[in-house]
Amino acid sequence: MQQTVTFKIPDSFEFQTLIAEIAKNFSIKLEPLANQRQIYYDTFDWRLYNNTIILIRQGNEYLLLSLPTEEIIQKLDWKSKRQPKFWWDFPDNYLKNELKKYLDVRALIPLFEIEKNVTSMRILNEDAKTVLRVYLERIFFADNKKKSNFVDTIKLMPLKGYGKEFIQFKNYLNRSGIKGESLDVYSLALQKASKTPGDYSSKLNITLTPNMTARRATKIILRYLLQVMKQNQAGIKDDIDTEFLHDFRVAMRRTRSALTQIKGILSKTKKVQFRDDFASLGKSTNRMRDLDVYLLKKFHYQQMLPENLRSGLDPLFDKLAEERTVEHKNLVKLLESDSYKKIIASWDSFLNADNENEKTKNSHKPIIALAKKFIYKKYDQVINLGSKINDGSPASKLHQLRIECKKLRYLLEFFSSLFPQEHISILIKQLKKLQDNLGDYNDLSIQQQNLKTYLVTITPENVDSLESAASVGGLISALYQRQQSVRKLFAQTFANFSNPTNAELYQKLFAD
Amino acid sequence: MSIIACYHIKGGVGKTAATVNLSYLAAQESTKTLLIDIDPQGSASYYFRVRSSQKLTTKALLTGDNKIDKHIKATDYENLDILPSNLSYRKLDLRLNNLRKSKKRLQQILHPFEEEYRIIFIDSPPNITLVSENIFFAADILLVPIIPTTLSILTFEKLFQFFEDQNLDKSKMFAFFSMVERRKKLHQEIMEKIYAEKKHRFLKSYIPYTVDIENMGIHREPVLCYKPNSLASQSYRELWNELRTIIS
Repeated sequence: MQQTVTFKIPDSFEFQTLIAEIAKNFSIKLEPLANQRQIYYDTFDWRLYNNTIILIRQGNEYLLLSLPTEEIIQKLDWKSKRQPKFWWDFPDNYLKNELKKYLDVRALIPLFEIEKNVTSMRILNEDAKTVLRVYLERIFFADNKKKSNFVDTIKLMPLKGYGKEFIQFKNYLNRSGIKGESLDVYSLALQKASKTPGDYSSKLNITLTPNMTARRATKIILRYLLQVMKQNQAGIKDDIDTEFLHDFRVAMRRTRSALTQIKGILSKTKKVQFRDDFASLGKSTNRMRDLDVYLLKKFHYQQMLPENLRSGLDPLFDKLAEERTVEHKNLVKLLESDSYKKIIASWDSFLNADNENEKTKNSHKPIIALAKKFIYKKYDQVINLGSKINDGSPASKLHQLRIECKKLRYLLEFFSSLFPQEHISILIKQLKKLQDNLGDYNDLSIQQQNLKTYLVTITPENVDSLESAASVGGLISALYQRQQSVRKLFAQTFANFSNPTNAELYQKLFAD
Repeated sequence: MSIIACYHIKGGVGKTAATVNLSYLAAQESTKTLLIDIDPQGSASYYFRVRSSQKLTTKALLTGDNKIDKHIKATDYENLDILPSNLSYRKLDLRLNNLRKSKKRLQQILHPFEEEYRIIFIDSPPNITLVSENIFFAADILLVPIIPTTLSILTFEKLFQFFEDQNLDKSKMFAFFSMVERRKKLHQEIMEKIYAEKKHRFLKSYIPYTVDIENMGIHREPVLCYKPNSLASQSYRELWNELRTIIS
């Protein structure tokens, strides 16, 4: 089936004359002029755009459209007082399900607003059946005060089974001088609003070349990570969603990891200073992240309990939410503090200073040699640690392995551009499975500990607190059960990771 | 995907009018809806001003794969498409007879539409034939319009018996009263009796006999479009609300 096309109408055309001309050649039905205001939404990391869709709000309607044709995928008519932010804010509906798939925990952010004057027209056949929908639109960009900032378009929306009529009309327009490439209104509006799709992604996107000096390459990595931290600051302060802080923390952790793992690049004093600065910064955001994770898990936790115990968790979550409000205030204070600004500023100037001449042990070696060496060494370490773990090993061994796996993961990601992409993807995928197992085990253990700490604070004063204690107790045992089954899966997961094919690939890529 | 087939052993019971208006209501709720007009008379297609494609023959319909897709046409209403009828459908029975698994054929043919459509309405031809048996098999809901007369009830009993004899799933059968004339005492009495008996599953909503529905042939659109506030439109809305709860 044909897709919707939008042509820009040349300035020389008047809408009314154009409509009159069309009416001379086709049987049409005109609908009254309508005024539409549309707000476009996406997440900070462009999750909708990356899936070639977009959400717009038009009066009381929410429309999920496919790009670039802007064909409607889902529509929701919903009068809401509050602006929905997350997928779970929407009423149960197909639109909600679609959004859930794409948004996950990210918030919708308004990108820009446009205003349209729309004349709708139907082209009819001899049975007075609609065979094509045509929309003449004057689209105003940005704020409506600047009425001069507009474009006139004609949009043809073909109907299934009436392809011939669509082509016939399109040809007619072409002959009249309305032609060219289909206009992508969304891209044009983004441009007018000075927004660049894909300008943020939580994935590392670093391009290095094999013969770069190690210091230059390391600085590229570190500058990229600093950029990510800066990009997320505003979102943390405005408390848009939990992922700003998460990405901020990951960038900081990666920075620390790069500082310690890419050895012999920076002077020792500088390295220690910044590593410690970021470590203490990271530490002061720990509690906030923990709280975010718990609150996101609320529904999940409730599902783990029998229905009559679910409400018993409410006091816990109320308490966590309260604590989060306080933590967030502290976090904003921290980000606005002089000490924080000083750390970032000195890190920034350090990364941008020209110190190519200062030599340290590895600073002037080609990055490829170091990348191979560090990755292979870390891989070796992971294999060694993991092979010693059996069903009876203590949790501390798994913890240690988890930390080393994380370091290996970061190294693979830092240097991925130096190696064949398809190979790195396989390795990361394999490693991720192992990390997921270890991560789940660790998370489940911490969650139990925290719940036990909370349990002690419940005083048996009344029936409510008794119920609450029962719920928390139930949750702890459910988490324990889950942790046991995750632990059982470790042996097989590690065996998959350390299989000969994977080992061979590590050897082929990194062992010299 | 839910498949709702509107069926009655005999014609002229308000079957097509119901299919047309109900499918329109489904589509109004942003639900991608397909109406399949299997009745060779093609009344549903006529109401939507859609002419059948000459190439959409019985053979094309039965060979399945996605070729049917080419013949689907958009109606004038968002989210509502129609697979128009074709005169050659009157030979559908003969064709089916020559095929293996002749009773499950339609179900197979509809399978590929699952991705695109959430609800499929079928306007079925009357009589108990191999075609209707295919529909009984494929449908999730068999919607049976019944005029409240003694004979109509008897015909319905026959259909019920047929389901029993053939070991078909009776739980998909939902009847509703159609072309009801409130002035007629007989209509009222029969309806009261049937509702009280609770022997068969009857929907609470019923469709009155009104000139607005009769006029669909002149307007060639759902009554909900040209007389949205009429009793007829209101009745279809109620019927749809009831049906929607059953689907979900």
